[in-house]
Amino acid sequence: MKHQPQFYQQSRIPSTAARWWDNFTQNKLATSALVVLSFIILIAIFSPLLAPYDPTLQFDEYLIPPSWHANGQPQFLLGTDEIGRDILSRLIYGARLSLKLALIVVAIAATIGILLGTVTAFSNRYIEHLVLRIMDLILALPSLLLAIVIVAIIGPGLPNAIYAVAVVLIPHFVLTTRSAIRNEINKDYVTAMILDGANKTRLFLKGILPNILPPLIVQLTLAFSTAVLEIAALGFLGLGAQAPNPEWGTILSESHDNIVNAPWTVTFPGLAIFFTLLSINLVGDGLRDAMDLEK
Amino acid sequence: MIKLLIRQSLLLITSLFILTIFTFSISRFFPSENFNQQLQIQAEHSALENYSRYLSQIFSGQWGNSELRGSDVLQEFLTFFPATMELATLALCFALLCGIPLGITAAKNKNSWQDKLITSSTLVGYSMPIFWWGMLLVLLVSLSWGLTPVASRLGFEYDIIPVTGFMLVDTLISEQPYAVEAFYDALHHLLLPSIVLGTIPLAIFTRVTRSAMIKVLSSDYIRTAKAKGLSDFRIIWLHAMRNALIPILTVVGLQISVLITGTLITETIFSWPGIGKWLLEAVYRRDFVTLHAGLLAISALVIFTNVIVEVLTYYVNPKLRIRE
Repeated sequence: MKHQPQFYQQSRIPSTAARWWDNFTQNKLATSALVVLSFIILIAIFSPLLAPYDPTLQFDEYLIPPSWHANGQPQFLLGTDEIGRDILSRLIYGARLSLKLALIVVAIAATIGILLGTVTAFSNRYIEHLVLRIMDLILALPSLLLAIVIVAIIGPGLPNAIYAVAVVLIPHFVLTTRSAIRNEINKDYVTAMILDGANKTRLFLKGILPNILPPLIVQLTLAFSTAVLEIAALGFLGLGAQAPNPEWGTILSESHDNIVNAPWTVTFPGLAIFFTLLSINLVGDGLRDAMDLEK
Repeated sequence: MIKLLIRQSLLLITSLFILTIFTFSISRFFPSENFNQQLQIQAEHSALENYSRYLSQIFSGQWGNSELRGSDVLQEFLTFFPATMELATLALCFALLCGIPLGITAAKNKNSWQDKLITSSTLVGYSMPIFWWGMLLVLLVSLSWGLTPVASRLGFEYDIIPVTGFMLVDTLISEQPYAVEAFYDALHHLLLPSIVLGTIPLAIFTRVTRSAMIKVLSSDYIRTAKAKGLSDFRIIWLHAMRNALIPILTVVGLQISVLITGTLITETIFSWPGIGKWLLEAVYRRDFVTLHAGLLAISALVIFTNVIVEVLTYYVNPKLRIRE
């Protein structure tokens, strides 16, 4: 919208990023998802300021319903759990924990995956074939099953769950990076750069990397949503973050037993995970459309 | 076709071979002496020697005895597997039977309110954390409305001897006077878990069907069919479906491992006595023999189904056949 044809000679040609941004903001749904996601991220960053109580602080009132119920109390907006902790505070701190964990997972997986993918794309046929076979195999395995096996080996708990989910995510990055590079490498501009005498590093950093960014960005958002989900799933199964931690999946598994007499202990953590996943997925979809992939 | 089958079985064999290398290497990290003893792996041998011993154990079906119960793990797997298989199959049927018509409806009325409703529902379904969705449905359907049972495969009042392990089959072939009621009861128990498990595949199938159908419906041969005056039903199901089926089949293949991942969680929520519960128990109690058997068997199964789907895709898609 901003870059309508002008009557006079156009003075400014939008940069690629600006064009993507324009395309993205055309999509109302994706833009509102981005607003929600930013809101969740802000909550995560400022959780110590926003949370009314400490997430592990126990009050004497157990299983208080949310404040709008007849038996609710105004000081506990979303009620309390079975050992008297304020649910709202736990969810706010949970946002911090869950997003931080997902971020670490994606950072590890993306670094290793993109490096491995690049090496694979530039290496000879045999190595490439070997790496691809292994990646295909890992991709064929059910992701949670593999993560569970890894957790079983190195033991349950937080840092281990991070490694497990990262391992599961690596193949996606390897395959995306490799196929994106393969798509670019035979194009004329790459040949021109080689003829200009660019060495391999320069060719990759200045030539190919900017052009494979769109698929990588989409892959990053996808991986982020997968990471949030898998970490919560491991937490739910009791293999990820352990009990006092306010991780969303762990909170859900703790409240599983109270589902009959205190349904609110189940509803709110689930809503938190759901809205986070939904907004990430919508932003990812919007980005894919904005950068004109798959079309 | 024969050439294809040979190539696919070669691929299957190499994939399974790589899988054994993978499980062998991952089992080197198991902190369990018992596992090594049971699979004839000894520290004094070289890795290669150990691997060949491991392979011969695997191929002779000696996958070891459970560290908890002492029974043969392969046998245990086969006892627990039908329950999971039944659940996963029903979930897949639910996802396909609802997903394809929904996708077609959305594609036929592109950009109408039906399309928008269906597309946004798939986004919701796709982002649904299955463990929460399961608990929510239990809370609503089972506990508040009392429509379905909360857990397990069959009511306590029925006594069915497991023959095939598939409850729906076992109830029907049993000699008991209440066989038919038991069958309906088993179906009743299956209903909610398969809806929970099928939700994410349903969302994905709907999306894929919609985009495939939109593409096919805009092609020339469909326009010709319309010009000839064929009914909508014939055009969609007999003409367009053949081409739309190709991407759908590919996605069905990819959903197999999603379904297995989902059963791990669904079985926990519904206390379903299948592979998921069996494996999680093995993780909690650190029973590595069982864990290894589960990983190997499930992975082999997923690889096997993927090859079958690949062959089916070839069968459905004449373009691939002609290229041979």
